[in-house]
Amino acid sequence: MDDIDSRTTPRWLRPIQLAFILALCVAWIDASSHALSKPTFRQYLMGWKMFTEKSTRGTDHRAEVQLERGGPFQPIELSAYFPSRWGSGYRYSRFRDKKRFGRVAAALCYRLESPAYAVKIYQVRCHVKQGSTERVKPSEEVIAHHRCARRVRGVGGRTIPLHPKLEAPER
Amino acid sequence: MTTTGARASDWLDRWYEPQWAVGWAYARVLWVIAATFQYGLDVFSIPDVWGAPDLHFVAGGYRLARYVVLTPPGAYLWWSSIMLTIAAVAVGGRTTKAAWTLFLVLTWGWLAYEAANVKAHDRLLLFVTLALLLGPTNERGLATKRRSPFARWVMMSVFSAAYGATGMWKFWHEPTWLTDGSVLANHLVQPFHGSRPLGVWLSGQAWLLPALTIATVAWECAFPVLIWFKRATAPLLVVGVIFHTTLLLTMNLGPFALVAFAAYPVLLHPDDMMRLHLALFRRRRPKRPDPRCVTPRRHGPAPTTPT
Repeated sequence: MDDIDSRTTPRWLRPIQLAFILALCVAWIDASSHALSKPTFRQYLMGWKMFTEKSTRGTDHRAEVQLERGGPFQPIELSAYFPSRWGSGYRYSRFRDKKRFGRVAAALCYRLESPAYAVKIYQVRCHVKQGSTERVKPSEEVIAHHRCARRVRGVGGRTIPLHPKLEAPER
Repeated sequence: MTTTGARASDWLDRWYEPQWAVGWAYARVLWVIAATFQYGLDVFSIPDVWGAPDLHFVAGGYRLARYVVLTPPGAYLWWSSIMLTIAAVAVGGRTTKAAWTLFLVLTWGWLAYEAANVKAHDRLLLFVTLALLLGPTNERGLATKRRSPFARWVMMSVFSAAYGATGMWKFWHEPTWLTDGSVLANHLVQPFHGSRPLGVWLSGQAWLLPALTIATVAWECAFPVLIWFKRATAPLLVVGVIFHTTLLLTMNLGPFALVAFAAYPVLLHPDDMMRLHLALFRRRRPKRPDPRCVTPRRHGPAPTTPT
């Protein structure tokens, strides 16, 4: 306890260490200075934008399934088929573009218990109300309308598999 | 010229005076807790995400799924490897830095494959881990050791950037952080990262919100300056603990607070951290080393080794 092992950086290494910290600070300042205006991968990694801007609206998603051609669309719980949460919401809730939701819709067709004819995914936007979880003035748009027999190309040229019962007759 | 060089050397010697290293031992333990929370729960998402055959994405620089397809056993193996590296860090000792390096490779591959949501706490954990890699974290018996302050400076610059940048952006970009606090009220009731019962209640307290938002911006903007002053670090970090704990209770931000807390024993001034350690374990303070052994001499080889 009484013997203290005391060491520090050798002199030759100190300028390198100080240059490293200086470079780090320059990188932080550069990344942070553009974090809001034109985020790129560099800013995405090193910029720190956390709850900076005021947001009066929230976004949610819901899905409907059409079991037979010409039949009615019935609501289903989207989160039951894509349950992973990432602290700040479901994984799919991070997406905004139709192309990605086209893939989510194709994956939904694959994950359904029984094969369906088509699925629709809606993006629901609503105003938030302070002091309440009530969602005000919801408006929704169809972000993906997918026929389950249609193949969708995924990442790396791979296709998203069809529902096993739809896949079987094609073989 | 020689005098100037000698003066600069003296100045650097003073800067580089060794500091108590016990904070690094606490940081390692807290890091294990944070990393376990962050990646341990991913095992439940493997069938839905990493082992799923139907839903792969690429985003920006995260393009691993373009080249690699994981099967569920492969994903479980990958996840187990991540957890093993965390376990190796928990054990400590000589393999700690190798485990941390492997952890960074595995977890960033994991995030690159998922490619949908690299979050603030993923990035913070990356930078905290890098700073821990530079510290004396592979040594045992840190309670009786003093080491170079360099790695602590790196950790301070990481948090100065994180808090300072977000504080400055709030200050310049969004006036309601400094007026009615409605920006925070809205975030507290967002469908995903908000809507926790305490957060919903807080968002309705119009009298309290301005005080909270102004205090937040003031603290975030002051952090990069005050953290370099010994007397200011303890109160600064106490406010940080209150800040992160409040966010933890009111918003869904994953383990962000735990990751931040992992760095706090290092950010606290080493003398204060040593005092806290001694208070926790009621030990008497180790004898202060002879200054002649601490500060390298101006001439001749430095009596030290790199950290």
